[in-house]
Amino acid sequence: MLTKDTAICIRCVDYSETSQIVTFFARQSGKISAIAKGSKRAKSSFEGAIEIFSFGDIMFHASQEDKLSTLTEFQQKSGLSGLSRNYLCYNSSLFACELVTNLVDEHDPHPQLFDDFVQFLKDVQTAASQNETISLLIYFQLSLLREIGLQPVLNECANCKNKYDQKWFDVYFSNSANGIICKDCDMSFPDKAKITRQAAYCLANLKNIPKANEQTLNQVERIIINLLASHMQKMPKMAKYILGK
Amino acid sequence: MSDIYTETLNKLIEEFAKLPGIGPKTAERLAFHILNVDSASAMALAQAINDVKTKIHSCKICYNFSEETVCNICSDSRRDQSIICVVEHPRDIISLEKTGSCKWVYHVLGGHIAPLEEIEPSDLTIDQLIERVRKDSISEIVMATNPNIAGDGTALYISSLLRPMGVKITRLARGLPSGSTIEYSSDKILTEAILGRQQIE
Ligand SMILES: [Zn+2]
Ligand SMILES: [Zn+2]
Repeated sequence: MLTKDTAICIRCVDYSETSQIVTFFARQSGKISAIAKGSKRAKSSFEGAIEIFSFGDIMFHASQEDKLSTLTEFQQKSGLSGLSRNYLCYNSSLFACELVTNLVDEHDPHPQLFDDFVQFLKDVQTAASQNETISLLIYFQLSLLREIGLQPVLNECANCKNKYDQKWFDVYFSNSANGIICKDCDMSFPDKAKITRQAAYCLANLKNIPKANEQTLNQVERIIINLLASHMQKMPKMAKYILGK
Repeated sequence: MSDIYTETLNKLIEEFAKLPGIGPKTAERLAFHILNVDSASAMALAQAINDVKTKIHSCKICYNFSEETVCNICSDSRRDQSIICVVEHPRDIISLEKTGSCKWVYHVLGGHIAPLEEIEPSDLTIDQLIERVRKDSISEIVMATNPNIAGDGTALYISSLLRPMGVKITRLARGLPSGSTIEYSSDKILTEAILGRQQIE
């Protein structure tokens, strides 16, 4: 069956001297792997070699589950050529890519997440500062968690549902509770970690993230990275590139 | 594997078939060619293979292929030793040198950084490059990593280390190839050409 879709390449490995195996995150089809025959030839039918973040309209022969599809056409669009504008932007983009690769199942469509992903990549290219880049990354990570059904509880205690209040002196975060934990409940969650009041305030009021200072943003990002790591059952490879910036 | 051939002939076919671009048919043809030529010619090939594997090392300065401790390019006094062109692989040097426009020296990284594939900065000769810039008086670093995401990322990482050292960092231009036409250029290439436009002297 020939399928048309809009897609972005999230992984690409050489298959032979002239062909590549490309993992696409496609808007309607979800995550698919396809062989792009002859893609590395100078005159390929895909407008040159395909690489991570290559983006555009694809046409592919879908195969049965867990078999490779065959890419027949790829009309690449411009618009994502600024991702290697600076090192943090580049690393943040790769991080988003790693998360989509690891947390989205094959053939499981997430059109909203696809749109958020592309929008994130477009926005991060023009981020005016490191803080803006990290803010965009945090928003994307949270929208990814929401879209795959793992949205964390951030504005109330994930256990007793007590509404978060800025006056809370001790605030904790627990990956197993998937959210913030108040001081009355912290004993029930051995994996909890205390978080700063500023980080808690940002998590409960996501609109304020762009206004947070660098230190707070890093605290928030660290909390989210640890949460993502618990879902992935391993530390994301790009985490150290972001936290150690 | 065919049992119509002897074991040694099969082995040779097998080895040829491992070479890039060589299919089973060609491998067979090559093996028969070796079998049929005179002994001296066949042994010359064996010797040549042996030599490249035993005599060629990497230059201790730039990590290009070399038969001496220091390669021909690094020891060429007519070159501007203060400009280092950074490439991913020795084969990139060959392409650049064929243009006849390069009067600089090189540094071969040995690949590119690809964090998602677990190729990290420490897998390349980046520390050695930084050391060269620190020790020698270098006026310019020309980034000639491949113009793709991985090459750009590698160049960005290296620039982030070099910038505090105050050395001028440039990269090869990209955009429209000479002799092409606007009409048949891809969006991607046109965008790069638009962003990288230059003043006409
Ligand atoms: Zn509680
Ligand atoms: Zn050398």
